[in-house]
Amino acid sequence: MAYDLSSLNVASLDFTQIKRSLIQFLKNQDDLKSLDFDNPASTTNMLMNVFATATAYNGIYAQYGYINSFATTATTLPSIMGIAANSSVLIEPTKCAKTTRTITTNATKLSAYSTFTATNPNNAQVIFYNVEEIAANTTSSIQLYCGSVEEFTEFDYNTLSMPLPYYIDPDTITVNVTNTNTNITVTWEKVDSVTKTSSGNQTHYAVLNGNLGYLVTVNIPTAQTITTDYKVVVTAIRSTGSAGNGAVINQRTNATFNTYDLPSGGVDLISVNKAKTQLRFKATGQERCVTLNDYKQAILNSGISGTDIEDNITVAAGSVPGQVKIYVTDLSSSDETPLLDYLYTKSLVGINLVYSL
Amino acid sequence: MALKDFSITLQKIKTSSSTNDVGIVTGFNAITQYIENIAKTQKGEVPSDVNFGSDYFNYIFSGNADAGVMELKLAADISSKIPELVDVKVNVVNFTDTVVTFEVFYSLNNGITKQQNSSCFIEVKL
Repeated sequence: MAYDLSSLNVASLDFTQIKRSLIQFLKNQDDLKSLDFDNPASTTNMLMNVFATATAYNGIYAQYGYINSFATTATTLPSIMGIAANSSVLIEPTKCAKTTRTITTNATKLSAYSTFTATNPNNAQVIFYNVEEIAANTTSSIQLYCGSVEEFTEFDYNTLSMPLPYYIDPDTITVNVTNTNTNITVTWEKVDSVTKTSSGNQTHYAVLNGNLGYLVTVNIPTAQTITTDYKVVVTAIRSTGSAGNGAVINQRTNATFNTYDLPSGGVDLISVNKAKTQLRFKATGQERCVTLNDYKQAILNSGISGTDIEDNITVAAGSVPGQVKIYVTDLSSSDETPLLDYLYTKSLVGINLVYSL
Repeated sequence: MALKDFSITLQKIKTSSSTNDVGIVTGFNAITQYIENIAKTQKGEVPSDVNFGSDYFNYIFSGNADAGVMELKLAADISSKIPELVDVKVNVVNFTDTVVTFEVFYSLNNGITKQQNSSCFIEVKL
């Protein structure tokens, strides 16, 4: 029997339309036309419910999958991070407030992830942590991050990696690998580019985006292989976003401050649109400003207040070769120079940036 | 109203023309099956038609199960979903912890003639 499939319209996402089309199509088949498709109490109609439901769900899942497979149309943060992982770029959905301080320790060393209590401008208590250990009686420049410390131990020895949630700040990750036979622990070194080292068997790890957020991996050419004789513990700081910005940090009895820069740079969880912009700038533009669109994406990713609305950004070629005119409507005048400084780090040599319409 | 329907069991049975046809019910057997489908479906159970079925189930485990209320509920639900049936009346003939049996009386009005005083028994396992 030849079926006229052109009259079957089941690609819709509307259940009612799918069911109506199915019934219309099947009612016209000689073997089936005498069946009672229309009464909701008939088994035939109930069977149509099952078919239409399965078809509608298939359509919805397929559409959801297709939409979230591409950076331009993805609708969820995990999808965007998964796409970023496939492009080997790193998106950071949230960042800790941080500050660089010169500290001096007394006779007691400052252990990694020691707490520094602090009060933010809203008089709320927040806590800062150092990431590296500082020996006793030492003066050193360190960074303090705001958040809470978390430990992760679920290392996958098959893929040589460990997934971490998106709410941690990847700058605060420490990887400690313990040989369970000798009980010796080594802190591994984070590398951003594996091409920088020529020899293998190093204690190197890299951080990529994974489906849950990040992926700490030692599955890189220069790193030594971790077997089940080793235990891997990853420590990182869970970001509290902007809560730590401008906080007053109290010094510890074993660590006194010599400098007092206020913490800044804490970013609350970014929106899906912001994550998309980051991904497109990093993956397509390789974080370099070449085309006018690259400049727009770079400005959207600058993190400078007032630069997150695309329609407010104007980028145009200047009147002389090599000149690029940048303008952001409603940008504070104090932010103009930081914006140009930021863009110069992304621009080609010989490009002259001018802040004007 | 085409009183011809797939058998709810969807079992393949032997027929004269084929050895692999799905079972078919017709006429009053089809109506009995319609009623059975309503009586064995709780309202809300079918996501695409949440009003399909009957909510007499709500009264079975209420502590003071009232057979009269269940009869009225089921009769109303049958009438609303099978408009060809008129004068629908339901009696609970057996009601235990594990099974409830209804006797459903109805007349069939196909728009031209009215066939009166038909009935069927529906057994619902709880």
